[in-house]
Amino acid sequence: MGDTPRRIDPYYVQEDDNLDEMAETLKPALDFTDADLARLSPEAKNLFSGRRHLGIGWLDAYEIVVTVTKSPSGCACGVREGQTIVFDMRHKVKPELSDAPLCVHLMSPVLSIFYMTFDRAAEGLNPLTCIWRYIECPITGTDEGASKALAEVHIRRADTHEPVTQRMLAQGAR
Amino acid sequence: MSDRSNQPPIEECEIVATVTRAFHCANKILEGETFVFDIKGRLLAEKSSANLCLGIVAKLQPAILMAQDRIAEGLHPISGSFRHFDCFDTGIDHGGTGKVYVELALVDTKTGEKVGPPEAASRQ
Repeated sequence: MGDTPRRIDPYYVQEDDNLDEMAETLKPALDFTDADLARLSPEAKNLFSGRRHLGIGWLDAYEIVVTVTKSPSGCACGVREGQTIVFDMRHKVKPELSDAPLCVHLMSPVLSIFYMTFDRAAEGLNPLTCIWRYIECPITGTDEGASKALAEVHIRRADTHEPVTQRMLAQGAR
Repeated sequence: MSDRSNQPPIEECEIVATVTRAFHCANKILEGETFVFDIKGRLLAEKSSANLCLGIVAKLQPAILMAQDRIAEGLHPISGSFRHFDCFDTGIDHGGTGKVYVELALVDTKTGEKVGPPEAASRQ
């Protein structure tokens, strides 16, 4: 970067915007000082700007649910059709709400979906991607994947467990 | 090829990732906390003391695959070369927020003791 500030679309967080209105939430949550907030990259500030668009508590308002739709031959980790793994929006497993084995192989592809949730929240969108809602165990095996576990992903309200299907969640947006 | 004959059966061991350093972590993961996996790669929530953040758990998936490969070769599951991992967050000074670092070890489920690699001499 040179001396000239980067031109940033006004929808996004500007370089001199230190997220003042949410600073008292972010500082204890992330062990940040005011100086830390000031030195965040514009990209990281955009990450936090999801609160600006979806509400200060959006990370606690929703959950991501991974539901196993097929496990044809019964995988070695014991993942079975109908089981679920539930995550909070900070991509932490909620074991108390999950009944599937917490298989690292099946869970790993979900991280990409979570990266999209933060990106989409910064755009004011429903955090769940409209495209990448199907995952599968990455282990193929000699049967060319015929016995691998398959799963679908959806987003729901954390309080009612109602699926959230509208595209735009930004407050005040139509 | 190493000799594991004086070590517990591999099915009676777990892979433990212990947090060696953490800062600005949104999931409040702290130094000394653990993520515990069985040998198949199942994260054992009841045995883990850290919040179960996918940002570090997913980073360990290749290490679990490598452990299974090493087991198939009769080697100690934890590679001496790939034992330290950090989470996918790139940290506050590189466009991200925080960072968590872990070190892997093999642990005997019955005793809770670490199961070290066989003596180097036995690898000859």
